[in-house]
Amino acid sequence: MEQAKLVVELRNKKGKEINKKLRREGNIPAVLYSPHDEKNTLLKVKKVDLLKLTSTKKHRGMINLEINEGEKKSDRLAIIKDIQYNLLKKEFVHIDFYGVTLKEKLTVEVGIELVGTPAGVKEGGGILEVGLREIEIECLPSQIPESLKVDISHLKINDHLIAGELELPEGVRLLTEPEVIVAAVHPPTKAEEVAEKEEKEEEGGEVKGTPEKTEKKGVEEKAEK
Amino acid sequence: MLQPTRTKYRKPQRGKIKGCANKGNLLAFGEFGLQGLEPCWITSAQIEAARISINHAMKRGGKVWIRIFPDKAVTKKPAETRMGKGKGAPDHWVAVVKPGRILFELGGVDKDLAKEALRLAAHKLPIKTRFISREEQVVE
Repeated sequence: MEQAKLVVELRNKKGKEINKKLRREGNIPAVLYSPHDEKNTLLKVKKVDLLKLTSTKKHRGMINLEINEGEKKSDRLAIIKDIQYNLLKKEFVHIDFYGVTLKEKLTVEVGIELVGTPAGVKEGGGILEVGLREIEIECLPSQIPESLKVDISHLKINDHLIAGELELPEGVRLLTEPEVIVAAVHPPTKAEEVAEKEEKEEEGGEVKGTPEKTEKKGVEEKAEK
Repeated sequence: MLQPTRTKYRKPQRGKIKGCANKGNLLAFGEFGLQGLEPCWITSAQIEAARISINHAMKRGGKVWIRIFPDKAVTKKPAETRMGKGKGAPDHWVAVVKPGRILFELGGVDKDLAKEALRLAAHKLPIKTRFISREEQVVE
């Protein structure tokens, strides 16, 4: 996977209000840590740069961090360990970078990209259900794949694909349980069945509701009298 | 309509809805979803109406996940009763919803159909909602 580059700046101050101010100015607070560092390094990233990085999906692999400290510049290899989002405003809140060395193996989550339309969906009108969208793998930082492409065009109705059947690149070990279902094709639900179900449920709902309704009606009638 | 089979206490206190949803705020099963944007109580009847409208719009094909469950009983005193004499009887069931909560999820359908189905469902709910898809759910 191609190594992405990201320019970050050191920040000295920390705290809720200071971070809020940073976000208003278009920066996102971040932190860099690793088991080899004694202290965490506080950083800030430009929101625009981060959006560019995440839109290309290169943020899943190794990143070359260019750390600016005034006039000084230094480089550091890292991966994005965690991104916090504000899901209502759809904004970044904070980023965790994890410093890596090229010789140590890492545990990371990689996205699964399903390629093709299953035969069961195309011909039989079945429904594709995706059970797993990310898998956990162990590999060297330089071997982290951008995503795992899986061809599902051979899946017929009632067929499924499990995590153990995925083809992994060399040097990558699967940590997710191999029996977990990645994708399955279910038979289509018939329109008549759906209608029947709905009718039954509606009837059931009315029966449940009747005692209360009759009680209320009784009270209203008494009041009218 | 959805309701619990057994509860520990029949008449819970009302409580307050503070803050945003910290769990149940990401799509977990389907490709598309309906996200609540306001705090509220959604009754089992409203959930059922929304579910029926989604199924009706999708006709056949696709799968629906209901991500909320009405597990809170709401009590009500009978009409024209004087105050006092204790708390009223359980009347209906509600799900407590915080802003950001995913209410429904759809899978196995195309975007246009999912959007239309969830638009119809949103009309059955008492809060503002928005349509979200997997690509746009975290940052636009």
